[in-house]
Amino acid sequence: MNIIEKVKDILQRFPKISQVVNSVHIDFTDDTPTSYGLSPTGDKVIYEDVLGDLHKQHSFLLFVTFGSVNDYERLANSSVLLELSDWLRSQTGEEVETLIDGRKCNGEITKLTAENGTLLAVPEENGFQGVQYQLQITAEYTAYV
Amino acid sequence: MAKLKRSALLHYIDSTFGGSTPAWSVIGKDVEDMSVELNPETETAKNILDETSVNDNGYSPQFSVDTYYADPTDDIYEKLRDIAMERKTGDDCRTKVMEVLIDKTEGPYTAWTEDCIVKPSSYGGATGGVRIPYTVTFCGNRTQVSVNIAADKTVTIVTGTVQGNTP
Repeated sequence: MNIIEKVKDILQRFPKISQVVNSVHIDFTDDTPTSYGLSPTGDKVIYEDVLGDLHKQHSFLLFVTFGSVNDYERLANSSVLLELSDWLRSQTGEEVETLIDGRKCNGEITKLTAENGTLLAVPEENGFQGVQYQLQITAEYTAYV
Repeated sequence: MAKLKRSALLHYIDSTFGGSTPAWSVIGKDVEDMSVELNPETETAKNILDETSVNDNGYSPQFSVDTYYADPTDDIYEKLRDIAMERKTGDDCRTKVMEVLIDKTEGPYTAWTEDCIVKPSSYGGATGGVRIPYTVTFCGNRTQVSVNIAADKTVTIVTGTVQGNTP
């Protein structure tokens, strides 16, 4: 699995996702609760070590549509995002594959963080159809060249 | 061949620390910058005729591995741990180092082995993992050999014999 497939796979194992929808879309989110969409936003090399192995970082935006009828639901939404952030931080050591010069290189996720969970959009200016939250996810990983 | 990438110079340490058959363990994982400091020693003297002479006292080479994350699955971890935690000295810290220069498109490549002393300089570090940075000091019996290197950086001596008498 490459880093995008792996992070999607990890997210789908988050209990609050697997219990509710069991699926995370890529670059797309349903406008009905509860829906998760993962959007990769860029990959960069942090540094190359003296062995030639790459230490990389991939950034994602996670879009989540939650119900938002009342304060109770909105508090629950933020709590789920908080739990997800904490849970992601513990998901290191997962193996990933990176294609470099046409060659598959093995590696592993060394750090996975989530931050800046914010309310992004309220459709039709009401909370009945589901509101959209955004969470920034950053995955640091290695590629053993 | 263009300029050599940094990964064309590889360093290995005999993780047996004196075993009859060396087990070469590549070092440099997570290390961004690592140089062998040759530390050349010369003395300049001027006589009464204003003539200058230079005495060349050779080198005291060593290199530091500033980033080493303690990893129980790593070949040299146990020895580094024991040296650091049991404050071992002398022959307990002595092993061999191999330097391989990949300056050709295919092997065998030229390599040099030498006796060395491995000394952890500290342990602990910040969050992210237990670090045991260490210094490798070269101490003679330098020998040139030819080696082949596999894709996973495993090294095999093709010609030449490793000299020296590690305990």
